[in-house]
Amino acid sequence: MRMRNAIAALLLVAATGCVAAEEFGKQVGANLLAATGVVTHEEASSLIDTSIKISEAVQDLTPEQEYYIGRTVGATILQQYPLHEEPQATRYLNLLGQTLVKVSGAAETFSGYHFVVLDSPEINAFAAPGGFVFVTRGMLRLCKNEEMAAAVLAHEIAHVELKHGLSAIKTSRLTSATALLAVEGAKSAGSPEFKQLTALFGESIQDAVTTLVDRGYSRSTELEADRVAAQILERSGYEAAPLLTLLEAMERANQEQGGFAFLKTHPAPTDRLAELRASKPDASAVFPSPEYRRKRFRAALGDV
Amino acid sequence: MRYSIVVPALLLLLAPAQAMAERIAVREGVLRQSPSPFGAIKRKLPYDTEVTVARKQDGWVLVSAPENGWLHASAVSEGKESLRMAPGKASRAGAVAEKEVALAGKGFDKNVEAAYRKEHAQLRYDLMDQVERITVPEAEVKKFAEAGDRGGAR
Repeated sequence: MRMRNAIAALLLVAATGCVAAEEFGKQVGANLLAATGVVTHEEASSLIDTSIKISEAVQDLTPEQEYYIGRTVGATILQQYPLHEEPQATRYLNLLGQTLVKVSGAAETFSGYHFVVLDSPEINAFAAPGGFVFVTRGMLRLCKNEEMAAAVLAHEIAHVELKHGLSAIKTSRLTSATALLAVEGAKSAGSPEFKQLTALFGESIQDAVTTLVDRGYSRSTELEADRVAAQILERSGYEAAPLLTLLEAMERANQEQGGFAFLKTHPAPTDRLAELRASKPDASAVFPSPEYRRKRFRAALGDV
Repeated sequence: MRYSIVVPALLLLLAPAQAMAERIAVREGVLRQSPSPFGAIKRKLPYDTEVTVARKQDGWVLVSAPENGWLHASAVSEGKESLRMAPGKASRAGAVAEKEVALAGKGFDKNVEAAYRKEHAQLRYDLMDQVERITVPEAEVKKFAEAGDRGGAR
């Protein structure tokens, strides 16, 4: 498989002088990628970093499997957090979310992205595999404008694109599931293999939920999501600055209200701010929000 | 460095040109006229439709069949099918038996969900069904993204 991809990539270079950066990046070094002129050296390095972190077992999951994992992760989250069903807020969040999804690396998932508001004062947000994004009312209240809300969603979309939820699943469960599929009986319900497959599914869900809701991602995983979120924001025209404003607001809320749930599962905002400032020296946490955005933000989320 | 890439690539070009057959990996792959986020939609290709890939470019895939157009790379299988098939059934000649293997041997699918769901009645799949029905038409996303001439593709 590897070999075939490498050959295909080479063919593309020769035939068109241009190559799909993602495909190629996995096969050859950053220097070579940058030499094609398609991406800068830094972009090439980040593509390669990403591909190294995602295990092969996770890469082998099809978008459909990702969807079924994400659906059950979502069904588990919604057991703990009630939905906030406010059509105008939901619609706005989905318009904003889709605007960002369009310029992400995973623009299409099996069932598309869906953004929902959770009825909780907690400052928090989750992204289940496949593109189910949950944001609490507490988090939305922290957002003072559309740009900050975009930063929240971009960070969650980055988790989906980078397959962080799937990476929380123990590799052994996925390799065992793949091995079971070679057994003829695994497909028929009621067979011992099918029962084993269902058990592995349940354990995979638990791994993902534990990380998403209870334990949180590692510091490096969150910083990686911030970096990709900044790229998504820049490509969409929102720029990376609101991400800084959001992290500053989280830091203030933390000092005023004391450790909220989000901080048990996320690195300190100051830590993330320092990292972002280092990679985006020009970004300022102060930015103008155009009137049309202020208007629609107020109308949809003004009193969330 | 550069020399060593070009030579094998040229040698490969001497072999008969081989278009790659891949499949739509999402429920509905959006075939567009141009490789851009709001490129005009030609049609939607259902899950598992075979497509002939002519080339790839910056996260987009140009296909020549079933119809000319561009798909976002994330909508295409990238050869994942063979990984989910049972060993020894590597070729895909379109035979019915093999097709069944490709469709049935996917691992975590709706049958597994149904079995898991039966054991966990408290999970809110009912709400997830509702969540999945939340969609916004592309035309409205375009309007939202372009208000004030900003957003969308760069």
